[in-house]
Amino acid sequence: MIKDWIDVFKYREFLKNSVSKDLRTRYRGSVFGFLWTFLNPLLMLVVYSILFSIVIKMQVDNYPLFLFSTLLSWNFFATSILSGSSIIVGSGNLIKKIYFPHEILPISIVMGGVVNYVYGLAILIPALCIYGYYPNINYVFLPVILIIQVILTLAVTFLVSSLTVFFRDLEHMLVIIVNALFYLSGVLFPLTTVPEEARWMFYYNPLATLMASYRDVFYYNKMPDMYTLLTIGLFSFLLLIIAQRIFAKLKLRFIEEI
Amino acid sequence: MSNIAIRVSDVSKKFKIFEDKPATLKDRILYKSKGVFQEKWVLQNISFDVSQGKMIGLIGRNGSGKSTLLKILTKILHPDTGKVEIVGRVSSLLELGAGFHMDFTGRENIYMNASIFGLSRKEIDGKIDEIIRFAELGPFIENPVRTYSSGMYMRLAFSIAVHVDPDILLIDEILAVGDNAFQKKCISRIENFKSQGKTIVFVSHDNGVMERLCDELYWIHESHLVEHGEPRKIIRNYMDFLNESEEKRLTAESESLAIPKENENVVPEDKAKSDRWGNKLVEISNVQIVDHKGIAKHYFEKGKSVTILIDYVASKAKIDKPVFGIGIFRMDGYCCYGTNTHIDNEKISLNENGVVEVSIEHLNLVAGEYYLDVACHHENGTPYDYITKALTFNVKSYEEEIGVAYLPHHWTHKGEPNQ
Repeated sequence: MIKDWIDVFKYREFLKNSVSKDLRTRYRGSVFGFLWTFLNPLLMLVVYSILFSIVIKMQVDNYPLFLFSTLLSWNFFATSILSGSSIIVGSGNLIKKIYFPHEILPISIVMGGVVNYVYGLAILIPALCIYGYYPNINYVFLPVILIIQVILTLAVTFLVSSLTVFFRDLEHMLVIIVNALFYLSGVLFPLTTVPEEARWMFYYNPLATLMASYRDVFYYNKMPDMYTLLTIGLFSFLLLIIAQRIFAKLKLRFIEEI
Repeated sequence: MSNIAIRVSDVSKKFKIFEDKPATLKDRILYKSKGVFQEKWVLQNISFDVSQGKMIGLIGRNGSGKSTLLKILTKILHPDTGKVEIVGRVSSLLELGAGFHMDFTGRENIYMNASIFGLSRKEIDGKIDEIIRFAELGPFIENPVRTYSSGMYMRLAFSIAVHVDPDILLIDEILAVGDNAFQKKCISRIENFKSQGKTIVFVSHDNGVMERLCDELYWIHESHLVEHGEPRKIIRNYMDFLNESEEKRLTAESESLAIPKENENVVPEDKAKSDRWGNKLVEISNVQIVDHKGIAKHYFEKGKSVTILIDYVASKAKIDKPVFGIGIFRMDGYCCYGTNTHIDNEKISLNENGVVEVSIEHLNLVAGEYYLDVACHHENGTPYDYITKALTFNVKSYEEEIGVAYLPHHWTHKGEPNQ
């Protein structure tokens, strides 16, 4: 198992290149090109601001920021899972022709997501400042939350990318699952609006904890619940180890299935 | 032994050939059997060692498992049983240009592609100038790869692959692509690698190159390792084997494709291969080529004697000025030799039926596949019976001359210039 990770490390240059290739080719051919990386979250913010200040009234102060402090990290998770599910099948050409550690493919998806997320912060943090939510000491927890989210996302991406090879329907099922998870992770509303008897669903959802932590830092300017966060961290780490083992088992048969 | 670079022990590989592969939940549930498939062994119990610095070649017919073996060596495929141990960095020239991104410039693709082979940024920085020079791309290196001609694309891909500086190089039939200059460059680069003491595994159908470059050849046939050893010997045995199976194939083919008879219903497919016309006053009923022992064959050795036998049936006893002719053509339609009884001043008076024989003392054609036209016509050219591609036959040779015909010759050398 350690051997697989060493192998990935040896190919770090390739990993770096595929991440940068992904980022550079994502908006290929468009007029604004790479600028879209920033335009995307900015326009999203504008839309939500208009929508929730004029069309719908939520019982939360500055709701667009409430939403936006979690939406970026949710998008990071959702895009990684959805594009990760087809990455092995879609890279069949490369897998059939050249040897490289296949783990690189899901890892590069997640890394690309992280980079995009960090760029998104360049929109989020100024927006928070405009509304008077200034950066504070609690921002030191941000890297911890992000690392835990990366580990969790990577674990899930390992699983879905390898399983989709053998069970192609998963790709389409995931669209629905991710959509449902969106509502069950508390991205849209504070947990207090959820009826008491349904809250357990959020307590057992690691993503809900992550989202709450982001919101604590950005929106409430307070320290996240470290005990729960680190429990989720440990869980994610164990899941990653198991997911990589499954991936390593299944990757031997990739070439015969794609 | 410490200087083994590649050790293949008892490797077997099978492929599942699905007739109709279910991949969705519905199919899995409805057809629990997981689909109907056949198992095909592509490699069985292959074992060999390659010492460091040796160059070995794999030969065998298409589909014998050579490429699968190479893919197992590069770890693209995993053997079902047995194992492969490799010491050193492997670079494979199996598929040139895999992973190129069309919108990136040549330079960007060098970084991208070389990193797939496991090179670090620093290593690539050190080699990039040499890679560009070897690829002879000049200023085009800054253009997107999609604007390249296929030759430029190939040169770039090859250049990257050989500059990875591997300890072990796996090469699969890449010499079949590219123009002559490129092929020469490939070969000289391979020779260069060899002289640097790199270990090379080489797959090619160019026996001449194999014999010249390889230290040892492995012959794989139908998933088994048949024989290995000194290149000259292996190639000879392999060629003999090929000739034998070719003889069988041609015999089988000629049985089904006998000369079409006019009065029978001729299948159109046959007609495409063989064509005949003429007024049938004289009909050619059978054509054979026999060797010096009188045995009808489709495979002949260069320089040996053969005889062409033309059986005919004449519709009436008195045929005016008949001329028999033969023509030997290369498969591309090039006429290698043609003659007839008129040119050779042979007068033939026909019976009701008989056999015209043409004895060729030395079949001095270079190795290859040929076809034979035979004809009987009037001296003024009116055809009685003309059959194109009446027979196909092969000439085999252990030498590798080129051209059309063998001109008997010998070489001498004098120390001083001629007086």
